[in-house]
Amino acid sequence: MSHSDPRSVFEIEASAIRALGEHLDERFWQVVDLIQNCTGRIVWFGVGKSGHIARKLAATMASVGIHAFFLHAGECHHGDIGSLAPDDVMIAVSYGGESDEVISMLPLVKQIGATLVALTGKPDSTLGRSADIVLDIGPDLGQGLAGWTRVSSLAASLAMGDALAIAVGTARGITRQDYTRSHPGGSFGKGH
Amino acid sequence: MQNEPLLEQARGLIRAEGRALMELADQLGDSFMQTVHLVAECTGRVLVTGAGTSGAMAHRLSHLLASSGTPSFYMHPADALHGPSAAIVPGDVLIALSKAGHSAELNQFARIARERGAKVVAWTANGESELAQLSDVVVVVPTDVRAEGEGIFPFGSSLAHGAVGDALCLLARRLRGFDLKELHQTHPSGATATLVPDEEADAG
Repeated sequence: MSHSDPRSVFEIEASAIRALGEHLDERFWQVVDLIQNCTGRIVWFGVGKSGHIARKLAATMASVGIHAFFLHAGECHHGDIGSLAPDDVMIAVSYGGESDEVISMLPLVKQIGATLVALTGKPDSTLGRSADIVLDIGPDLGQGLAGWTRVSSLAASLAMGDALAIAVGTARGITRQDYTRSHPGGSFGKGH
Repeated sequence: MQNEPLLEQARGLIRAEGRALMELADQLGDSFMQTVHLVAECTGRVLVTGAGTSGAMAHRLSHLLASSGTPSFYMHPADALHGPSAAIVPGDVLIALSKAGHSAELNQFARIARERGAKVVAWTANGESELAQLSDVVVVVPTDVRAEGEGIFPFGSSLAHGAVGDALCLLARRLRGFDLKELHQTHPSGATATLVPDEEADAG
């Protein structure tokens, strides 16, 4: 399929997500355990488009009853890092693992004592090497497609985060009733 | 601990904030009016940016501008450097809020916005700062240390940015002729529209 065909975007994102599902390993379950045993909060962390993905995943986790919130990496340089506590698990999203706003915060994250999980396509990056556990989201398959923007890596990060939220929610025995209770304004809350 | 001495500290801070705002009113001048005309006559979008506490005030300003008839949105300076600054086109105005004017990511964003043809307006306490030097219009919003928490936390200075923004929204609304009747259409969920007096709504 030609790269000028918009259907190739769907193909590429689908194959990236499928490959990720096929290669899930024990590290995924280690992160599920970390979240399960976390006595603090799950802190999703990122900037730019990865930041938007992180913000969405914080909302998804919160909606299945996991205490999660989003920290904007750029805002952390202006005081927001004060929200991070030693018993928190921080999940940093960065495909390249070298975003200045993200990696310049890592020494402080270590100093505070939070556990660090990296969602990255570059396990050897500064972020990957600093993390306690790396969830490798694989290579971005969209290079030939657009080259100038991330395509499949963001979709893969989203799928990985959704899988974590659902694995933890399932392990905790969350029911449809629980989910409905936290969605009074949406169609879930209206019983549809 | 006794409540009364603590309460007096709280009152002292609010009084200092009030005095700082009163002085600010007298200091508004030409650069403020240049901002008003840029915003009222803007044919593109008014982008507002800032990080930290200035970011919260930038969000607020963008919301109030949009509510009062000026197309506006907020862009985070760090996010802007990861691609979204491509959305800026000639005809846009960028209002950058920064107390010190030394925020590296904000200054870089402002520079990119200028290169892309937007007019850049800086609101800063430091008229000599890097941000001020690279901007088309500089509104110096002075900082009174007595109105800042412990002299450090940006309490009074963020209120000052809020007050300058309120004045900007008021004048831009009047110059654009945004009809207050439109609040009924654009504020269906809030109580704001019900506050529009009949004669004001009729007069537009």
